[in-house]
Amino acid sequence: MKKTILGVLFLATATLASCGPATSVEESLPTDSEGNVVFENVAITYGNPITGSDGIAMRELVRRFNQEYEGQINVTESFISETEYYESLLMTIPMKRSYDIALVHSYKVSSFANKNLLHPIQSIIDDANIDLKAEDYISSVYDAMYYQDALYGIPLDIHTIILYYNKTLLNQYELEVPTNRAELIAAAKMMPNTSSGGYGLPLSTTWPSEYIYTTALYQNGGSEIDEEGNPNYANAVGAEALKMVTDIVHTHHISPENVSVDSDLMLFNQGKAMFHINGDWMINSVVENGVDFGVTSLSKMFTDDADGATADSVAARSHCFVLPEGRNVAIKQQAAMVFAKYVTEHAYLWAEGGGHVPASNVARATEEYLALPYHHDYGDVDDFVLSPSSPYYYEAFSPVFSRVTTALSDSGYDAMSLLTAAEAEGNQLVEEAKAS
Amino acid sequence: MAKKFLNPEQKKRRYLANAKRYAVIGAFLLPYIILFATFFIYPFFYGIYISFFRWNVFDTASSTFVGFENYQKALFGIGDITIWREYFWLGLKNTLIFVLISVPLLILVPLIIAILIDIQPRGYKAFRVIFFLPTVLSISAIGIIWKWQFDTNNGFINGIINLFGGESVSWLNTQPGAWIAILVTTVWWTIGTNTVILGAGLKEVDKQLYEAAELDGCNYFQVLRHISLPAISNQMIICTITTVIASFNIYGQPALLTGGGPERSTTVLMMFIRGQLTGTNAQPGLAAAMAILMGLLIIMVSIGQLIYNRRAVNR
Repeated sequence: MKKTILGVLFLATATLASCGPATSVEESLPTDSEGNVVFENVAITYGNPITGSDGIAMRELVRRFNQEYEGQINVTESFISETEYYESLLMTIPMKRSYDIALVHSYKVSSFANKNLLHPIQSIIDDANIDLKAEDYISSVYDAMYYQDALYGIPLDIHTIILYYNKTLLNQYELEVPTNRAELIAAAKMMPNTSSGGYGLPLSTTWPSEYIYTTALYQNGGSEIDEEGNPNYANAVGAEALKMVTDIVHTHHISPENVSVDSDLMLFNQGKAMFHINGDWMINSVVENGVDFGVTSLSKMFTDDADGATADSVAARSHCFVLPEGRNVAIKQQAAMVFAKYVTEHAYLWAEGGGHVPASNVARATEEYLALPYHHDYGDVDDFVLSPSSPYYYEAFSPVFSRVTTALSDSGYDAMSLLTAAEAEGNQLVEEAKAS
Repeated sequence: MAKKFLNPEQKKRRYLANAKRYAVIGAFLLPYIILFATFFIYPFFYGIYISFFRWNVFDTASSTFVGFENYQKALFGIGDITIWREYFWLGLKNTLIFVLISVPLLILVPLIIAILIDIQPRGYKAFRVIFFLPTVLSISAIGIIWKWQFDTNNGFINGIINLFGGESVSWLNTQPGAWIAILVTTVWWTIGTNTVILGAGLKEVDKQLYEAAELDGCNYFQVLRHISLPAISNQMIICTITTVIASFNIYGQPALLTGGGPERSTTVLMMFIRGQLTGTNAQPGLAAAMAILMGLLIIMVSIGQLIYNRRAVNR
């Protein structure tokens, strides 16, 4: 009996030990004659929040990688919806039970790194002698992967909002594709702007209004936060940016009032809207609906000063690969970097399936990417601007979102009053976040 | 009766028999006790415990004890930090608005349906199923269904209004449209449960009472008022209390239909609490304090209701 109990205890201990968190291992890794790490049946786990139609492309990328690296590295992918995904990362990383590699949005990098949830990756790339360097990526996107001078991510893509236009309606009114705000509004005004006749540019009051307002802020020379990470929009530039957005509804009347989220997309898909603003990630959805459409950049569309230094800027975000802290097994981390390099360089598949622009210069130079019909009209990749790096970015900037919605719904809004209230709220949230 | 004395051997046998009996009972109860303690007792007290801390999710050891500071923040604010107080009172105000407008309807409408079904018209069983069906749907499905019904430009409801020459109403983006949309959705989704409870109560009413009342010359409404309703008073109490609690805990309908807008007028307290639980800069201690304050309020309202209903029944 005693032996049985001891046996059970031993088994339980062994099981628990094997389930325990991975510890940092300073092992000497097997290398070939050129100093490259040799991988032999290294299994890594990979988590992402890609559950939509773009998930098909991600699954395919993982499958191809596993096929190409058979016997060397095997990636097991897990994916859940975005909200649950980020909550699970926040729960599992401190417990050291997260994925070996994870895909996150760029604006999360600094806040995660600030809480020591991410592992710096430059030394891993160097140790494994992986040919993964900044020059091979869009420089502004790669720069956004740094927090306090340490590199935490490898960018997969850049995604932004674009202007969709209905080719049939443009031809009907003998119009050219607009290249600035004046042309956009003039073209949109050609539509009857009635529910039966269709609208120029229906604009949802809720989404993607935060992207649109941020774009307007950039194009008018503003920024969401200052150098200390505090809110920086309750000023003349912030008010001008808000006017540029809301004038579409209240002054130019090229959008109906109080458009719900996705109603604007539905009107475009029904052929009842000449223009539509949405993310590049909606491109395949619009293709499926059969509208004869084109896309163009939103540069100069939210400023009257088309020659302004930042008039071409458009707000963007990026998906990037990061290494959750706690999974510090060197061979797995290096295998994860090999995987990140592979996926970013083969991201033409991701571009096709998800509508995004690959961050890798290699991927953007492939024949497959160059053959895609819409991506090259999104605009110059150097015009896409990622949010400034701050662990308190969300706290500082998110209070403005509901105020933009209010301004889009209420023609009598007081811009400074709304922005001042948002900034006051943002300041308190930042102060509280710094103390937490 | 003379006390029966047992010898040591008998005592031992009796002791073993009792031990065996209790062991069997314990074995059956143990899984329930473990589950109850793990998923009810422990989280309940843990929630109270963390409400007294500035809780660090990523390193619980570095959490700092702050006493009643989280409660003070939620109720009154501390120094320049007034944002949590504003969130708490705004959320509570919006929650109370919903409770006040929803509870009467969530009792009255099921009561009317239950009475109509109790008459047993042709096909009443099918109606009973139809009224109960929405209850089995998830809030996500309900949100998607009703969001499109209330859509300004493409919605079914505005389509009907337009058909009769009316102007489209921006249900989800303006008030009182947003509350009406949330209310209609809630009534449609949840009336099934109360209808079944009240219907079961009506079914139990002694039919001889109806016949006696009829012989005494009572009309249908008098029968309802003096016989049916008093007979289902217990069911009414249960329905009222559970509906009040459910209404206080509203989250999914405004989160999915209006996102808390317009201008946060439908951002209920649960939405603010949930907001404090997510993100790298989350404040679970503050969220727990807000939740406990709301829980205390619900308990007080429920006790008040119980006392009022008991007195009303006894009168």
